[in-house]
Amino acid sequence: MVSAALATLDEAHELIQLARQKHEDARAELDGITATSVNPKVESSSAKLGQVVASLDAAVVWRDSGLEVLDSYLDQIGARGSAGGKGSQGDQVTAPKLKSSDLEKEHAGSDDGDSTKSAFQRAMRSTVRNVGDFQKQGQTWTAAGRSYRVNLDPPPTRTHAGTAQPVDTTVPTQGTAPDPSDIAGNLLVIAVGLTEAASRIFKREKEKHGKADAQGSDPGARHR
Amino acid sequence: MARQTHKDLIRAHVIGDMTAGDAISEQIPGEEQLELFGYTTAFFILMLQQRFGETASREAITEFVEEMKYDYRSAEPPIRPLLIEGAIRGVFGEEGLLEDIATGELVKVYYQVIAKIAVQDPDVIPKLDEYLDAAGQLADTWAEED
Repeated sequence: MVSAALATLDEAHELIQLARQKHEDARAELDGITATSVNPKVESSSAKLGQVVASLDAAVVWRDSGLEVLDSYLDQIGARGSAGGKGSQGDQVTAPKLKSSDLEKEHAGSDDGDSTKSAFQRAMRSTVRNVGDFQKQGQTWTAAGRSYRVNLDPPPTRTHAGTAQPVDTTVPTQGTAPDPSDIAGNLLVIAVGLTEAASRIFKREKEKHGKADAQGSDPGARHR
Repeated sequence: MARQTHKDLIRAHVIGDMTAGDAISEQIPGEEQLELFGYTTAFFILMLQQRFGETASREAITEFVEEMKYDYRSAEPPIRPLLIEGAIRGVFGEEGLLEDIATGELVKVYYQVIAKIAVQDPDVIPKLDEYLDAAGQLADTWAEED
């Protein structure tokens, strides 16, 4: 999505450049005519060319504004490559689709059997896909978690009621109903539902991980 | 089997033992990153389940993110609410949102969310060992398949 936006902005940039060039050519030609003519239409054309300049300047502003919006968005979503305009490396990133309408479009007609899997299963598949680029991030616990844990400062009393619901007891687990006191067992009621898809994902990621290691990736990158 | 150091790291994070966290972090070699990511992912999922149950409405997620903004108001760099919302919505069915979140940023979200829920939910810390074990079992089911 971001790549497409950048491509559009680059195209706009090229069109603006082309329009500027044509404007300069027209202006030179018109100036030549103006020097030898008192035709009011020539004056009118000259004035319109002035408006063209203003429009081109406005287009440049809008184009730059679009880049700033993209920059801000990439910063916000943390998927930043560079939206630095023409010649940028914008193809490295694709923004997540945070609008439900986009999501609906994205998933419309793409049900290839995933609908039979739980939301958690599908989520896990997407989550672990990111492992492949993890070692490029150089994240340590100290960098990724420590400072946030230190700065966690919730209200003294919990002013918000959680929306936690009872664990779904309808998922069969070896024919026994979950024991309310068995936290680990109850948690794994959902884990059973996750296992099949997630295990495939991890297997795939492990293979990718192994290939990355074999290619000499930075061994220091981790999120200890 | 989930490594004890991974459990201990999450335990230190949850209870806010920075000294232990630093020490354990130094013990975990880079080649364990995939395992640690898997374990942290598992614990993150369990915390979300603890807070939201198996499903979460958009409103509930928004409310949670608003709480996060307050709870981490002093964090520097600041938390990224859109990332947090995207990650949670991704877990609850909008998985496309997860695909383009940089993994390093996703890990930060993990730690932020884990700490908030664990600290504020009265059930988690008293039974932390059981939650840590459950996350280990969950992660193991992924890691053991070759």
